[in-house]
Amino acid sequence: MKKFNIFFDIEKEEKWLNSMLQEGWECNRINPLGFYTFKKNSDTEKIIRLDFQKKLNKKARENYILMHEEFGWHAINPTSINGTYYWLKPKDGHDELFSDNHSHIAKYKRLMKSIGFSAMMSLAFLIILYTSYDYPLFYDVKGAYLTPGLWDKEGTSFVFAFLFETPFALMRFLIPWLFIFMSLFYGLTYLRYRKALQQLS
Amino acid sequence: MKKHKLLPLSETMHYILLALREPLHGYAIMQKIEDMSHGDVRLAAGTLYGAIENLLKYDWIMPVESDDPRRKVYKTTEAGLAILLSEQQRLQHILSLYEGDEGNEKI
Repeated sequence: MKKFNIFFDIEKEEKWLNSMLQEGWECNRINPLGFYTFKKNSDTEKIIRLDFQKKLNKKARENYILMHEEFGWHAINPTSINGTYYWLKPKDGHDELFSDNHSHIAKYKRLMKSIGFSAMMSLAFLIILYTSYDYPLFYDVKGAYLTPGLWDKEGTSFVFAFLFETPFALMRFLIPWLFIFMSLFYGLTYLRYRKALQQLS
Repeated sequence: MKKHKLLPLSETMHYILLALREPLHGYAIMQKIEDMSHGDVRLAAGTLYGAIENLLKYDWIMPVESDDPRRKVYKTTEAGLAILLSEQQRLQHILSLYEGDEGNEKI
């Protein structure tokens, strides 16, 4: 079974994957675009934990994976594009990736650094979009149509030109909104991570 | 002088530096610490991984040659032993305060 889902917050992602496990669906592949592949598994006595690491080179990653494997964790994705690692293990009472506060806090710090950077990047993109050239404002639907003299046309010639331009206009109109939402979600997730960190320290 | 980021040593760091006075690989470190602490401290994988990275960064432990090329074996360095010594003195002083040897006569 395949499912599509987008998470900004890895705590929520972890919760979702564990609830799927409880329902008998074990995730065995994750595609960075948001496609999760599940296989039926009646053994619900398993647990998934998510970790986040900054970019690891090949050797460091091998070392990281081996260390976790020795502790009984299986990496669902042996490589990670965005830094999230998915660890699966049968429950045995030692079901956490972290056993002290310091390392738990360090995970949130890595997450905040990364998501803070993403928030900055999408904000920077918006600013560049609006300052570098004559981009229609995000609420200006008409301005997204660039066909010269479009609004003076009439009848079929208007309908034809309008429909032809619509997909392009939609794209121009939606791109800023996409980045506005992304900045917002990244920003909110940053605040949630910060709250979790404050509760730990 | 500004105190080192890892000082005073956390329980995790303390146990790892003490355990690595003999060379050990990842999982064996956890097992030894479980023994040393009479089952009280059981390090999780992510905590041990992060702690090792941190201790390597400050050269308090180092990788050593081993038969298994895949498994990395570590050992506490001279610098790490010096840190342990200063921590021992700090803790001994605190213990002496517990025992009322000095400093708390006025209470």
